[in-house]
Amino acid sequence: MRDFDPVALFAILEESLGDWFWPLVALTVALAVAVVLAAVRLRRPGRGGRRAVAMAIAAGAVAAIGFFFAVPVWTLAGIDSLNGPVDYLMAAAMALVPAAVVAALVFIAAAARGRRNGLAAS
Amino acid sequence: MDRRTFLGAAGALAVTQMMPLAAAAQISAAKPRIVIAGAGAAGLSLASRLRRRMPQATITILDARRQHFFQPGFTLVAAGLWSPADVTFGNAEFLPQGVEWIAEAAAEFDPVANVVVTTGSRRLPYDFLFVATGLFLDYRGIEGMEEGLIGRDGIASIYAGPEAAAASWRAIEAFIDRGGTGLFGRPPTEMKCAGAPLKIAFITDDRARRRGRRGAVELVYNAHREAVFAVRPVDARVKELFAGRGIAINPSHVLVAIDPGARKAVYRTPAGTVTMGYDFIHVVPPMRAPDAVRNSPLPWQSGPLAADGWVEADRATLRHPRFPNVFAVGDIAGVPRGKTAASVKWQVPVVVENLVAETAGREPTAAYNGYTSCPMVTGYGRAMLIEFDYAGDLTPSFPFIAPLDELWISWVIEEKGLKGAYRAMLRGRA
Repeated sequence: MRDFDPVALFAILEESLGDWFWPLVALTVALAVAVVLAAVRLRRPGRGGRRAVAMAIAAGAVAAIGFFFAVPVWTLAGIDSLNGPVDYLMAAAMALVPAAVVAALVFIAAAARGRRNGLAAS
Repeated sequence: MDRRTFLGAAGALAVTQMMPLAAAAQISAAKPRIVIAGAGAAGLSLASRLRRRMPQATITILDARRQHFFQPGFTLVAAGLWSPADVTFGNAEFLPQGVEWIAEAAAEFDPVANVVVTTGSRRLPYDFLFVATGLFLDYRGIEGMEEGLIGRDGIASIYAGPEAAAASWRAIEAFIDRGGTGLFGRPPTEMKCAGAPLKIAFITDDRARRRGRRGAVELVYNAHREAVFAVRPVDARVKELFAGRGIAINPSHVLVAIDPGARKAVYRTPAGTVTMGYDFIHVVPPMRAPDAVRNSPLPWQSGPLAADGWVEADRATLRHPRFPNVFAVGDIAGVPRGKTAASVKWQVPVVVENLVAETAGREPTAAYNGYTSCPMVTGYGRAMLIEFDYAGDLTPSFPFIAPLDELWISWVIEEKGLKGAYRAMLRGRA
């Protein structure tokens, strides 16, 4: 358990996820690129940038609450297994991962919609 | 701090983090013949690391088994959460290229002539030998007991393999259905994963509660001595938890015989033999060195580790004091406490580092401190992440995880973290 360096942690993650590892890495990179591109588009005035960010945060927050309850089930346990501040913090931290994906998807969708609206208005 | 400065600092930090790896990645150009006896956790991990660090060495690994079991997962199979397939890998999947695998076991060790003889009568001379045979589960060391009884007549035992662990799960469920007395315990010998007998007691208790049947079962833990766990604060904590859950403890009870038909177990106690009836019993067999090791000059010749044939080894370097080109790693090593996968994780880099240093003309300085780890499952969804060393001192890796607290995050490490870490260890990457 002790003294895991970054390379070891990478190897552990790769072994834990198995065949899912590289597709998930590709998906994460694609999502990150899409978010950056969407943010660049939304920087232009009239494209609803603030609204997209607000929607993403709201969706991410709702998803985080839902995933907070789902994370213990994913570990073959129940929400009643959480037993102290560190458990609640870790469950929240783990819930943030899928919540961030939801927020990113909502942000990208909102940006695409804002772009269409912007093009229609111009 | 501007962006350029920040990136520079981040890069420097990353390099600093990687420096120990760079130091550890030194290789030896030596060309010794290395034989690894056993392709368990220690053997495969050794093969992976030695192949990388000694690219010109001739490395041969011996093991007749083609399947590799993730033994830390047996508890979760016996809890009805995992299937046997979840803990079964193929040995070939983890063997690095350039390592010769002979699918035979070691039959004889001759450390005077520096030769290992296989069960197929092949003679393998070596310059360095790594004994990583694992241990022998001596079920017949308990009169009336044999491996084939697991899953029948209320008998469970998770140690014998994935199917035995699954059969143990069915036995636990049947016991909770019927009710009655359940007996738990451990042998007086050295043993692998000394927490497992306690975990099974906790799991049975929790399962019975969740099914509303706790009142129908009486659970008794027959400890082989006064303590239920060798590390004092852990012992006190487990006793506290057992008391809170109504699990009785009988100290100094060693299981010596079993009558499956009559469902009676005989224990050796300081006051003489005691016979106890049971409806369910979790049998943990005495554990000893395999015959090939016991019949060789390698075991301790005296002291507490001599009787069961554990290989004599320096506790810090795992090197044999009488045969300095022989190392013992994993369960077979005659050192206190080191019979877990977590021990292997720490032992293997030490022996590899020292061999690489020695064959490269440097002073070997790496030392193993006895580190081992036991995620002590105390119920479905909770565990205590217990780590300790030779001295019996708790050595927590994570400052935010209290080792004696029942936590979900410790369960997460058991259920989600260990298998990936174990597989990475087999490949010599963690």
